[in-house]
Parts: sequence; C-alpha cells; structure tokens
Amino acid sequence: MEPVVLLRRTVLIVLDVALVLQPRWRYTSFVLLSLVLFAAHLLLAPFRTRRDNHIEALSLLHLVFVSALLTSESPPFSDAMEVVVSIVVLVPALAFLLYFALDRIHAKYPVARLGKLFPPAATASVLQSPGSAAAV
Amino acid sequence: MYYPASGNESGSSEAAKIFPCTRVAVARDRFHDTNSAGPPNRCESASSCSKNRAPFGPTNPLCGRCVSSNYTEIDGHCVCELRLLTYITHSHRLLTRFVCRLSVGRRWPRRPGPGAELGVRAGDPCAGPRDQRLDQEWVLGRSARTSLTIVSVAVFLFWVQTLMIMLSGAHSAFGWSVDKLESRSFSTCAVLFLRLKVFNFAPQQAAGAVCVMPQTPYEQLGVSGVFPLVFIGLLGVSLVVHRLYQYLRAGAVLPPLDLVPWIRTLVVLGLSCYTQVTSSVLLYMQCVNVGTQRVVFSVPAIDCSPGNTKYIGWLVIAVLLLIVFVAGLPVAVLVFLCRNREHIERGEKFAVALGPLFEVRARLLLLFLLKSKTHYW
Repeated sequence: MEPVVLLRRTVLIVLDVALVLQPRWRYTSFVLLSLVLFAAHLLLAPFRTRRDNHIEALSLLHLVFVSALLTSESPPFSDAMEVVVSIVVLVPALAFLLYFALDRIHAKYPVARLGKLFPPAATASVLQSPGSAAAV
Repeated sequence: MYYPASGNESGSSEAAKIFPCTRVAVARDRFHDTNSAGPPNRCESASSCSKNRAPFGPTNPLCGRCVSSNYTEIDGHCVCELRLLTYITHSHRLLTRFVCRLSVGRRWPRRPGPGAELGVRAGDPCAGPRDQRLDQEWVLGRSARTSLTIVSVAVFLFWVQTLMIMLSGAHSAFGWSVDKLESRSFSTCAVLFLRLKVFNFAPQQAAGAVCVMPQTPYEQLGVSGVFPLVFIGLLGVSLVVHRLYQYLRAGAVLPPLDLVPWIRTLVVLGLSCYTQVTSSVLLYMQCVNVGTQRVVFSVPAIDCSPGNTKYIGWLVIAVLLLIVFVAGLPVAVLVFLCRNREHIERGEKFAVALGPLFEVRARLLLLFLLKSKTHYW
C-alpha cells in the first residue's frame, strides 16, 4: 500500500534532516522507528505470500541492527567501526542481489537444489491466511 | 578527515565558528557531535579548506564555496569532470531493467496480430538485447519467468534507501572520492557502498566526485532534487525507440502499442524517486547560523539569510515541490485508490497498469479502504 510506504519514508527523512545536529538522537530515533516498523510488520504481515513477509521482516530487523550499531559510537567512526559497518551492510546487500541473480538463473536453467529457495509460482503465490499472519 | 563546525557551538571563539577547520578546538566543547554531523570533506587540514575550495574566511563559512565557478560541488568535493554522463547512461540501463524485470508484474494479455511478437524487443523496458521471447502471463504481480514478486523489489529499494539515509554522515564512503578511497585498506568496501547509491536513484552520488558541467550551489541542489526525473525522461526515450523499431520491422501495419508495462515501470520509477526528492527539498530548507551568517547546512555555499532573494526564489520551488510532490503524492495515491476501488477489483486494464500502487501491500490499508469481497484482502 503505497501511501503507507511513502509516509514511512517521509517520517524517516524528516527525522534524518531535523536531527542532523544531534547525531545521537538521530540514530536513536532510527532505532525506535525501525523497531516500530518491525513490530507493525510482524503484527500485520501485510504481504500476500509468506516469503515476501519473511524478506520484509528480515530487512527491517537488519535496519534495527544497523541503527543500533550506529548508536554505539559518535561519528566520525574509527576505522574498525567502519569495517564492521561495511561488513554488516555489504554482506546482506550482496546476498540480496545474489538472490535476485539466482532467481533469474534458476528461472532460465532450473536447478533442482534451488527449487526450495525459489518455489514455482503456483506454490509461492499461495496466499498467507490471516491466522498465520502473525506467525511470520 | 576534518569536519566543518556547524556554528552552533558555544564557548568557542568567533574565529572557530567561522573558520571551521579547527577540529581540536571545537572538539573540546559540548557540540563535538555536531561537528561530525555535517557533510565531510570541507577541510584539508586544521588550517585550510580542501582541494579546489576557496580559502576560508568570513565570506566563506564552513568552507562552502569552490575556488571558482568552473568547479561544482558534487558529493562534498569541488570538481569538474565529464564522466557523469556515462554513469547516468549505465545507471539508467541498470535501474530500468532491474525495476522492470522484477516489478512490471501482471501484463495485460497481448492481442494476437501482425507484429505482436515484437512486444518485448528493442526499446521495451524489460527487454535485453538477446531477449526475443514472447510475453507471458503475469499472475499476482509475479513474472512467469521468475518466482519473485514486485514486493521483493520494493523491499530491496526501501531497505537500501533507508541504509543510505542512516549511514550518511556516518560512514566515510559517503564523503570520500573514489580516488581517495583507493588508498584505504578497505577501499573496495567503500566503493561498493558508493555503487549502492545507484539504488537510491542518485547516480550523481554513486559516481563519486564527478560532474557533467559547472553548476552553482543552487543548481546543484536543485538538480539533485529533480535528477531522478531524468530516469523517467529516459524511459520516454526508450518508448520512442521501441515504437520506431516496431515501425521499421512491421512496415505498414504497425502493431498496437501496449502501454501497460511502460506505465507500470513509470509508476515504480516515480515512487522510487520519492526518497531522493524529499530529502533534497528538506535539506534545502535546513539553515544553520555560522557566526554572523546563516547558511544551508548541507551546502554551506548557499546563504539563506532573509535578505537573499536568490535563496528565496529557489525556496519557492522547494516549497512547491514539498506541497505538490512530497505531501501531495501520498494523498493523491490514497484518493485514487479509494475512488477507483471497484475498477481495481474488476481488474480493468488501467488498474493493471497502475498496479504497483496497490499490489505491493496486499492487506494493510486496503483492508479498510477497499472492502474487497473478491480478493484475500
């Protein structure tokens, strides 16, 4: 539902700009916002398929983790901290892109072992029942 | 790396407020955190501004100005090179195909007829150079050729864009140029960070410190606000090329134009640009006091004191964007969905074309707005 998504982005940017002179509060607000979004997602599980809900839950959980990590040190970060942040951000980003790439490859050249990771459309599009929504 | 002082610090001398490259001095006061919150790369050392920047002084607070109008500030650096066009072209190709391939979603069944097989060839936003296959049915926003849905793309884009916002000003990769990064032990990681900015619809940042032409600070910030619209323009160019190709191949009988995938791609591009435009608009309005002057925090070369008519002129544009795009878009989408819920439920063609507006979230708000009897939500 795009109005909700756009509102979510607007809140994030407003916090980013408004608190730019108070980095600690800025990062704390990111943690709180991410937690609220994560909790709301777990409660509502708004997507049709279970896998989509899992992906969104993982990404929101990762945002909570990164924002919490950023509160641990005042910028400018030390080299060690930057390496840690780099790993924490880049590894999931590459994993995400790899997932897209594997999906494309699997669609073109089906690999049996990847069948579970990329279920056929008929299976993957099974609607998530309201009762199981909270079980994401 | 030296960070400019914001000018809000108390207890520092007036010189420390105006001449920002005195990290040690300002680090002692309680506004130490404030110093690191600003955009980096303004200072080369504790006594001078960075390369290609005008000397600091009362007329150049926060080392905001470049040495001459031939230089443009891109991503915190005063530069002028002609490499950006390449990045724009590459970014357009990457983004359009990435977004379209995975998010075009359900396609309207193609009408059989002469030339219909040309649908996904040259110019089609989803077509690669070797992709000669026919359209396939799309179900539930899912390509028959992939198991991923539009949700995966939307989640990925939101996740990357949120990370970019969180890490701006925190990670050095967002302040250093690619050349500078090469001397760092973890430069590869940092360059990868820069490349991720492509997904933030900000290729001018992803390219590092390069520019296509000299720009004033106003133009630079203004362009960063409307730059994502370039992608939409390029999509239009692709459409023209597509029709031209169809015309040349089909001869006299021109196949009917299927606008559905184009409109869907346009909607996704428009929605994905929202973060970048909103950020630029709000940053333009954020002024800080530096000594006796008042400047835009993210672009200190812009004087935003009340008497500056140039700033006020651009501020009018920023306010218009704020009202029409930043605030207007979510409201417009909400009203559109409410007014057209019956058409959407019937799955009419225009509803399919605008599907990215409501397919992403199946239940969340539609549960209350649409009261559907035919869909799960």
